[in-house]
Amino acid sequence: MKKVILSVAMMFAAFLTQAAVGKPIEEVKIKSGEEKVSTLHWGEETSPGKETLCTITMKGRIDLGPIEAEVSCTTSAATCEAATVRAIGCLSAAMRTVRTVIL
Amino acid sequence: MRVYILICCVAMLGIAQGQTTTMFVYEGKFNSSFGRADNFRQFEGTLIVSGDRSLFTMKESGAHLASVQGNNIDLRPDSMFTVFKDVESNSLLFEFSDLNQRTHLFADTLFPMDWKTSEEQRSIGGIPCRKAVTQFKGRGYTAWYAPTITIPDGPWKLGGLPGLILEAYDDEDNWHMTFVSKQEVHGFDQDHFLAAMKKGTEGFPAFATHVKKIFSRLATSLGAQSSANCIDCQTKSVIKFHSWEKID
Repeated sequence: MKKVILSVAMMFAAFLTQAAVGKPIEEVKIKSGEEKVSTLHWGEETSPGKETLCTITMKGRIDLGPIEAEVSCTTSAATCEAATVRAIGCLSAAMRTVRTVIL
Repeated sequence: MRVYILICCVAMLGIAQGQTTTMFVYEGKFNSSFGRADNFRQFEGTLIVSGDRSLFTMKESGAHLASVQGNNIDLRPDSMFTVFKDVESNSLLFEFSDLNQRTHLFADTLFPMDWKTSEEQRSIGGIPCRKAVTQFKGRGYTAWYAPTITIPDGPWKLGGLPGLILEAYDDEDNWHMTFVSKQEVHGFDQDHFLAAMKKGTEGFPAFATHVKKIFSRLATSLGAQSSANCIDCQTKSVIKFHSWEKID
């Protein structure tokens, strides 16, 4: 629980620092929408991962009404802080790119 | 004198047309995350029926402004699920709003649903209704139709039952429309749709291709920026696309 609280706190801290590093898109899928996802938005998914790695997943949405694109960034790092910063950076870069494409 | 007669004829024609146009008002909800999360918003739907033609659209209740907020980019059009149907020519047109919020019209099959009717009955707004279920474009739908209102139409693309659909929803209840009232209106603007029909409109496969192109454009852009900035491979980015109607 402490780890989750710590990671959320780090997430906000990372917001302020605005660290941004983009990461590779490894999959492109088209689904008809039946898939269940446990969390959405700022993917508050944290897990200790294997060995000592902390894994963070963050998600963003592009809502076109009956069509939706969902971008998610999952990062693993030695500390949850580092993973959070990287995940935020990855997602920020991705969403900036989407805005560039749109506008 | 001739001018007066002409004016009277036109006025009477207009009144006659107005009398045959009825707007059925629905209220309901739509979950833009389609069951993957709760993103429900309230909507008002209108089905305007004029003879063999109808226009359905649903608008979010209250003000709605497309916006970019945090990690959610909201590009939903003002009107969603807009569908024009013409039973006489067996045509159906539906609107799609792209990334730049430009609307495009595509054609689709009119009432291809294979409805399974049942004896179940209930009353909606005091009108007796019967139940029917179907599978359509990857989802199961339930419709409650009124045999006493002999209009084989309904919200969105649904229809083809022996009575107007007064309530419709999908199996997961992500989209739900319920009839609340009706009123007489003076026709609706069909010119846009009739012109598109006359010109010839591409069908559902073209719509699917169009959507896939948008997705591909997004994916390519994201991929390009990502590889340029890839420092370590412990980060995994995934872009997934979800469509209300099955398009693959």
